[in-house]
Amino acid sequence: MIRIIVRRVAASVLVALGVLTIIFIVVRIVPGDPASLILGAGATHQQIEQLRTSLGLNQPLIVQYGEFMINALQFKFGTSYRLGGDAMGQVLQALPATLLLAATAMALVLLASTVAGVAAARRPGTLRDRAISGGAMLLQSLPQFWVGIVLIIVVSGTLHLLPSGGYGSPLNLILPAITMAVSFLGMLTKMVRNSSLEQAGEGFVQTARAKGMSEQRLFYVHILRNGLIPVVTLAGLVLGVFLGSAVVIETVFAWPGVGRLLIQSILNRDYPVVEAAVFVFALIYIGLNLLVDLLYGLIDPRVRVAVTA
Amino acid sequence: MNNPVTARRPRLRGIAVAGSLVVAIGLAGCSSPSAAAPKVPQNLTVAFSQETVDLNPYGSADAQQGLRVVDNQIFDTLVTQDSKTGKYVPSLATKWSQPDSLTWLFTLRKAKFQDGTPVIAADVVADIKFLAGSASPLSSLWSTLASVSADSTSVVRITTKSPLGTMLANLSLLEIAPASDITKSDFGTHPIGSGPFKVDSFTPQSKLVLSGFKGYWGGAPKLSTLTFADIPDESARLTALKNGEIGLDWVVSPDQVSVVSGTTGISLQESDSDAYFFLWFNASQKPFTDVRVRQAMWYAVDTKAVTKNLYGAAGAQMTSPVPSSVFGSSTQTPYAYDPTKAKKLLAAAGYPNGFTTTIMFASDSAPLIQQQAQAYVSYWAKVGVTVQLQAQPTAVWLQNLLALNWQTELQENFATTGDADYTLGRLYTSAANRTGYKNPKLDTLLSDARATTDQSKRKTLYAQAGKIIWDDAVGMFPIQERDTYAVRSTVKGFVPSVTRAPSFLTVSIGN
Repeated sequence: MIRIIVRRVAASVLVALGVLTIIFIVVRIVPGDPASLILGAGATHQQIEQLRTSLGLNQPLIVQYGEFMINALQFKFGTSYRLGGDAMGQVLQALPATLLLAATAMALVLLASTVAGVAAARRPGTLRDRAISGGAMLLQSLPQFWVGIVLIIVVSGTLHLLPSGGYGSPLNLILPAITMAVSFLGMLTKMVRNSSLEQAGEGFVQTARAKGMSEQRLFYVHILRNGLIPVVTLAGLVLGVFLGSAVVIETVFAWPGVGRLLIQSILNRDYPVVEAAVFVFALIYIGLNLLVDLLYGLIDPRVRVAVTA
Repeated sequence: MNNPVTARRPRLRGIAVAGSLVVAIGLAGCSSPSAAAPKVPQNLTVAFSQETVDLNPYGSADAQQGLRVVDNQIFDTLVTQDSKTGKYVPSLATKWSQPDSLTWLFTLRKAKFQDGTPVIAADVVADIKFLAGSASPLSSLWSTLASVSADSTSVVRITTKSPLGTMLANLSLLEIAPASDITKSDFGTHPIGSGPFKVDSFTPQSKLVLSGFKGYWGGAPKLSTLTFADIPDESARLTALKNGEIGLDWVVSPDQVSVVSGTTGISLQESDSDAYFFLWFNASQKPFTDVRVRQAMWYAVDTKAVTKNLYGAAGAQMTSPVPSSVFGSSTQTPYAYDPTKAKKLLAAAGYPNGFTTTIMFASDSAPLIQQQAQAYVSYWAKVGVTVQLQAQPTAVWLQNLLALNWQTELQENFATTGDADYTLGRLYTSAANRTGYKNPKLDTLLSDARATTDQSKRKTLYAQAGKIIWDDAVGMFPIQERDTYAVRSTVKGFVPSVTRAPSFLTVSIGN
């Protein structure tokens, strides 16, 4: 087991180094000059050149890359061009808001999709099942920014139930968390349903049934427990995808998180913040994958055996 | 530079305070007459359409509207521009004189910074030196500065290498901060000024909370707190206004005005604005090297109809290459819509069958910019000129703009200083080479206008410069904007400003 962990962690470090290199290249390939964006359309060429030099952008790329990697490995990404402060500091300051949002959305998704998925799987083929599966499909296909704006206009604007956006009270959290959860809610509901039904056809279920176990007990103890294994994998990955969708949702709901910081930094070619934010997202994603891999082994002994063998 | 993150109060407490604040404001917004206490809490939350990333008035964001709007509350300037007459009037400086054309003397009033220390000449000296020596966008206004010194604790002496006609305009943008504060590491997040409101807390991407400064020399503001909420999405902003989460939203886009117009408890105020559109022709490339082609492009477009149909009350037809609110604007002869004349001019220039070109703009950079570009394209098609739309992300657009890598180009511009020098003097000289148009006579007029401190003479020079730019059709000057402010009826005493940075000194909350 320890060997597996060591191997996985080593692979993750390599991935992180690869991510750093890719971010460095991508932000510089995209057209646009940070210095002229900072100074605006009215600046003189001389002013722009002066700023480019002071930002270190006139150095050869290979020198910039070397400095970037050395600093990045010490978690230093330099000063934000746009905000002034330390780039990694800006990202870490915005991170709790994003994590709070993603964790709340995750809790919503897991709870609601398990309830709905179970409800559908217990009566396969019935009207209830079809309604839930159809609803899941519908939710999965709604674009998030649209869901967000509709929720603001209806729940906040027309019904006056919740604030339209902002950050601070638990009330502010509800609409963005629902928006983030919606499309994955459909996906995971279907996952719970299908994987439970798959398990229901397995031999051990028939054995248990033949031994006279009640259907209720059979479902919750044997079928659902096994059926949730693939859901754990997916949930770990969904949490990663949440970070990506934060870019849109945080802008719609004026949520002061990393997603919004990232999109503003990309639009303004604020290289240090883009690099720091993408690196943090990548680390979270890598960490989640690692966790899912290890968790999977813990939950399902078959996987552990298969990997060690 | 430092990290402004570390010196923050405990997060949970902040959340609790912010939460109760939001609730309090929400309640204040919808309190019924029966529940009206004798004193309404004087707390106002407002939202401006552009974000504030930094408060440092000498930093890289110093020309951005998102900064100017909030810094105008925190800081004072030596002089301010009266938005009605356009004249510069006393603020921190009570009077000024010019012993000779290169020297200016400013006498300061007795005023205090928000930390209680008096405003003295040494502060002003340090501030001007700091800005002039920085690489910020506004530092270029001070390129002719020779020296600045304090004659006494209340008299500032500024000398320039050549006469500086824009001295007062420049000073109206120079925020005064204590000399000891400007080099501090938290100056960008927690600055001290002598303005009517002081900074309580600033959380970028979320909100800036200001509180009234009781020791303000102009009298204490009526509001106890003034909060700038950062709400990037316009429909969310308007919903927040309808809900009473905020009391004021500006600038409302022309196509969003209908969302709030007619709503009970919300009134719309319109104001002249220093924002306007221009469409440049790249005079370094054929066919726009020929003045007749440029003029033909303008005659081919019914700018009056475009203004009225697209912008309605939110736009007015321009009569000068700068908005009429700007010092140095002068009324020029309009290009009446005349497609026949346009065709004749094109034929005379050797393009009887028209030609193909492009129009570049930054998508989403200004309200209805895409629709405006499309309108021009369809007018030009009628005189045989085929124009392709080039909508680009701001970063890409800017790179192409500066490299003169475009044929025609539409953009929104803002006359930040309220003086024609800031736009005409910077953008239309041969040295700046922004449009490919070069005219030594225009260069002389513009540099003379900058180097003259006689304001009536400057006006005449800008009128001549404006006429050349207009008649030679360096660009087309179609629309100057009128800004819409959506205000809740509980907000009393609010007056919009052409600079988009209104004063909240006399604003109060009523029933």
